[in-house]
Amino acid sequence: MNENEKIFGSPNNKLEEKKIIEQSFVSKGRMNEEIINESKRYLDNLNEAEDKKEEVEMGESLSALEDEKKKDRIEDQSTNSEKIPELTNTENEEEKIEINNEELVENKAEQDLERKLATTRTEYAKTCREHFDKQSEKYTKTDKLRIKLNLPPKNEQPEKDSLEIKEAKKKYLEAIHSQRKEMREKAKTEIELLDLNDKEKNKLLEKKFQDIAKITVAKEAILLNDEKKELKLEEKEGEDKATKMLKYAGKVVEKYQKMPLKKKLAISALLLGGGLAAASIGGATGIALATGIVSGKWLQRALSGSATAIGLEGLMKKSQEKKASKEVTSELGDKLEESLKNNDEKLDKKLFELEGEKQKQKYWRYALAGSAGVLIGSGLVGKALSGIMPDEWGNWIKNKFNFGDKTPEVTPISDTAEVTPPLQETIVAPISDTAEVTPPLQETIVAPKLEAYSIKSGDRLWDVLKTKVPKIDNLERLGMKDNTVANLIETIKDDPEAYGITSGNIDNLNIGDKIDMERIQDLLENEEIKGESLIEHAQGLDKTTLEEIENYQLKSEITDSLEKEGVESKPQATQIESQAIEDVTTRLTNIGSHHSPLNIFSLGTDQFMETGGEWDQLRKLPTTDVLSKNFNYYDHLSLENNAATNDNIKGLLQYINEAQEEIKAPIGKENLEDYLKRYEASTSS
Amino acid sequence: MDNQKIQESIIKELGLDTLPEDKQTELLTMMTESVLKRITIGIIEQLSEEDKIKFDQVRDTNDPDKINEFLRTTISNYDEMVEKIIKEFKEEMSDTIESLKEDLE
Repeated sequence: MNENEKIFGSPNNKLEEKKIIEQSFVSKGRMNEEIINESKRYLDNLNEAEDKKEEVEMGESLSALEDEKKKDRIEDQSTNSEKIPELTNTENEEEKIEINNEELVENKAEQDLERKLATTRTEYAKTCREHFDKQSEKYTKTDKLRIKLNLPPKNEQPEKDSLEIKEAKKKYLEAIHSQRKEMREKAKTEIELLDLNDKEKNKLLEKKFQDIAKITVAKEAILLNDEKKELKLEEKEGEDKATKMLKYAGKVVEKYQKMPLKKKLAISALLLGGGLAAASIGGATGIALATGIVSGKWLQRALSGSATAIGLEGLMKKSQEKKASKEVTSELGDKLEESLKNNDEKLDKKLFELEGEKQKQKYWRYALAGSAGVLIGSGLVGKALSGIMPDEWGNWIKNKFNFGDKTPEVTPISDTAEVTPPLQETIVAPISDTAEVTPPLQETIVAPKLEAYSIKSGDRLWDVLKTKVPKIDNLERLGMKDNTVANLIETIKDDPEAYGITSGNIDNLNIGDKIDMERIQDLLENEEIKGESLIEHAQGLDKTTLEEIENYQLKSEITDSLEKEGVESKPQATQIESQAIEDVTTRLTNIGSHHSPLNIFSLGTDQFMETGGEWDQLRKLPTTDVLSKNFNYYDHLSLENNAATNDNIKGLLQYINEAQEEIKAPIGKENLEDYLKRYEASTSS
Repeated sequence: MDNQKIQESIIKELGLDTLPEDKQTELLTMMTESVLKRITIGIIEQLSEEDKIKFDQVRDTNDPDKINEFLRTTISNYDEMVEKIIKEFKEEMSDTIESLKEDLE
């Protein structure tokens, strides 16, 4: 008899038992916490058993999601049952669960192996990129440059088996071995059940083991190379853009996965068959792309332009915009779904009226930042965009390649296998209709409400934002505050009225203007720079940039006080300057940081921005001098022999040329740093 | 080369032709997915913002000829680009398979 039975006695039926336990929770003062928890687990077990029974009786099959939840619950029970074996062993229903548990434990073990394999694969790919591939690319580039400069190539190669690579590879290979072992065990069990003699069984087993070896190697080769490609893309395009591109590509893949087998194989044959003319291979891409990824303007939606669907969905998600969403739905009524599907201009117009162009664009940025899957997955948009795949292209294939439905030679494989099972390890997770990720928009729901701020005489928007918005005021460094305010103002100035500035001009506040602090807070949370919120972006600025912003601000404050004494004001110049400092630093860091042929700005090496590096030596020199001396601040030998320096200077020269095109020659003895800042300021003002 | 031979080609090249047909299919489609992903990214990389909008419009027609024509006229050496991606994919596959085989033995 277990602890519960000792206390409660043996109940006659489960209902009574549940009742007693439930009542005991109410009067739990008499029991210790351990007994209460144990009782709760027992009660959960009983409920679970009842649920299970009902499902069996009703003959209902669970959805995949429910199955997942069920698995989790039953796994929990499994843990619990170890602690309270007397309870579970006494009930028939629990026995059923025990049987299921065994299956689920087996599935869980498989999933764990898959997960481990995926993790070690990613780690190995990353390590290879970091310690070999990137280095190798760098050496190749240096050698190419040396050859151009008539210098002998160094033919350097990074160490292929560095300690880091060895370590990551070891873990990865161990994970493959473990998965293979599991697959072999499973095959062995299956074969043992067959009605064959030992010799036949052994032969079959041997073949099966060989197949397993080949399959795992081929699959891993695909997945590992995909991982590496993805990492390379991220390095080249940045994480945000790479994610968007991969999502788009994921959509193409997703549609390909859903095609009937014959069509899939037709495309496979054209792309991978080999021996075909390039034109035919290229043509196959057209077929694949003509499959109506989601029809409509998906690429435009995903990667550029303006459209409505995501914006509307985002709008509806916001609790404070309920009213606006009601307006949209009441106006468009039943036609909403159709309008979404057709990317109806009416919706765009309505959104514009409600939110202003800037806000609409903001929703787009959410989508671009990766929340599209969430928004689409939330239902309405997904419904509108799905199921629009036309079949015209199928006819095209038939006509073009004689791959008609009645052409058996297209595939030697059975027609019954119409859909290849989705591959779990696929790197790019296509936007799923059921994807559940917390959308950034939801943050606004829990954010504390802020009262509107009423403008008083002498108020400046800059100061109001800096001191009256707690999230900004709480930032630890002045530079962070200024950077955040500068970025906020950049957005606000596109639609000042939406924030309560009645004049429509951020430099002209009227007394009594009610600054919508709630909306400002919303901007802080949802406006993004390189995938970060404005606050996160400011917090991530390096020490040098922050110091430069702070120093500049100090100068500006002095200028401001002079302006108040009669000098004509140039309002908001500080924001532009603050942004310019950041832009110059970012660009220069880009020039020097990657040394990757894939990044348009990255030509040099880390030394560029180091103390004593090329930039450090050149920044305060007059721009005209630097240019007239053709960067000859290094001896010729250094320039000729140091490919890295050459690359750094090349990147800088490119930057200066851009500046010259935009702002012409430097002013007097304007130093290089100030000149580039002026250039950046001119592009943002 | 007939169609069946075409699709068997890479399978043979990679020494996977002794596998059961369903496994061959699974691997072939998995490889195609990877290649399609690379080609799509290659296309996006080459298109300007303006071209992306045009591309959407062309794709709306769901006409492979028009799509191909657009890609060929907008992206210089488009066919070569696709061919290069596929060639690179095959080489990578072959190298990685060999290397993994060696490591796992």
